Amino acid sequence: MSDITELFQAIGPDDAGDPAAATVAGDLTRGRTALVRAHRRAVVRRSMFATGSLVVAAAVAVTATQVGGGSKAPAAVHHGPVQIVQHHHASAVRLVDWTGQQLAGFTVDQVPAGWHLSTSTQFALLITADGSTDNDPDAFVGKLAVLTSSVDEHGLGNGDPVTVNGVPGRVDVQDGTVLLRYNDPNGFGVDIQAPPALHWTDAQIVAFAEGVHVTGNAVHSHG
Amino acid sequence: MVSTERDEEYRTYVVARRASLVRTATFLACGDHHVAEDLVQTALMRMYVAWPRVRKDTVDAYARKALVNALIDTRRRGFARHEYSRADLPDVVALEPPVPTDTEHAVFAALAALPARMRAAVILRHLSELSVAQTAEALGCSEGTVKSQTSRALDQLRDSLTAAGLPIGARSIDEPATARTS
Repeated sequence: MSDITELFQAIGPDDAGDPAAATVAGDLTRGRTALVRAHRRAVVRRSMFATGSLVVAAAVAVTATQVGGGSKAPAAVHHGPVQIVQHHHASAVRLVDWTGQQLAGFTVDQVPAGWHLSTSTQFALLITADGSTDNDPDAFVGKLAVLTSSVDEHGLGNGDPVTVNGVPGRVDVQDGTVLLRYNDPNGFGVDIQAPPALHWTDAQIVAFAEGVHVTGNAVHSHG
Repeated sequence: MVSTERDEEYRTYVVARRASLVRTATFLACGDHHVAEDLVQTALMRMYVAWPRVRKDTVDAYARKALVNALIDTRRRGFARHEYSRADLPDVVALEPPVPTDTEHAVFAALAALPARMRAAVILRHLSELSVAQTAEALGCSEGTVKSQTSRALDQLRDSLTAAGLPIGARSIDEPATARTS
């Protein structure tokens, strides 16, 4: 052991003893908030990638058409991006009344047919297809998610203007995921993410949102 | 609210290891307890997000790396960007940090004069008693860099502490270190 080591070990705070329960709870809350934030960023990244792919596909289609202009292939002009944008209109999963147990933080009037309330946290309610065994509250992929908006985010963002229970909202589609943001009557900003599997339109996600109620157990997220 | 397996594992880890992380962070923050607490909170927050990818046998190494990265990030960005005001003050009463002794004051001042990565190298080697290889992993650099950084750090520390009235003998930095889990 060197003199520096002996000196270091003789000073500074003690490394023994358990932290206070509130300190541990704070660490856990910060971690979970960061995880929600990371999920949101992942959704945005996926949508940006999809948008980039769309642009590239469009450019390739146009270039191919122009290069082949002298040949006999004019039908290529209308293919490509249109199919990606319009994908969610087919076989949308309809809403049915939810008569099962409600979870802390949120209540819902309806759920997609064949889906059920999976789990909830202070920041999120997750709804999954019947038969799904994934009850991880931190895994959002493939799930219908209701999230309290971050207090650090303001405005409704981009997308189609809609009305949810008389208040304005915005619906955006990113990589097949339908995203709705609006403010509920209690002042909570709410984000709803509907996975591509539901094939929902703007009207369907709004209809679902009008049956969502944020209760006193929910809190704003941060970041 | 549900408590997941991740939550339980994480909670167990925090209870067992938080005090050790705060101690290491206090040295990295040159005795500033508030900065040290911020470093620990940042590191633990990142660990929670990455928890499924953190192998149980390397969780302490991951924590050390997160702590050092938090220190480097802090110096790059400054703490002001992490602060945001609130309308309501928290109910929790903040405890006053302990008043440093003369020795602590001298040591932390000497550490503060070192560049962040050099400081981290000497702290991991001589406080946490990591091996050169473990320190290199935590810092994301070569073992040779650890040796050179630690050597220069020790020279500067000896000069600073001698000037402050705390002379320490010259000992080899390459003497085997006993690996600890902190």
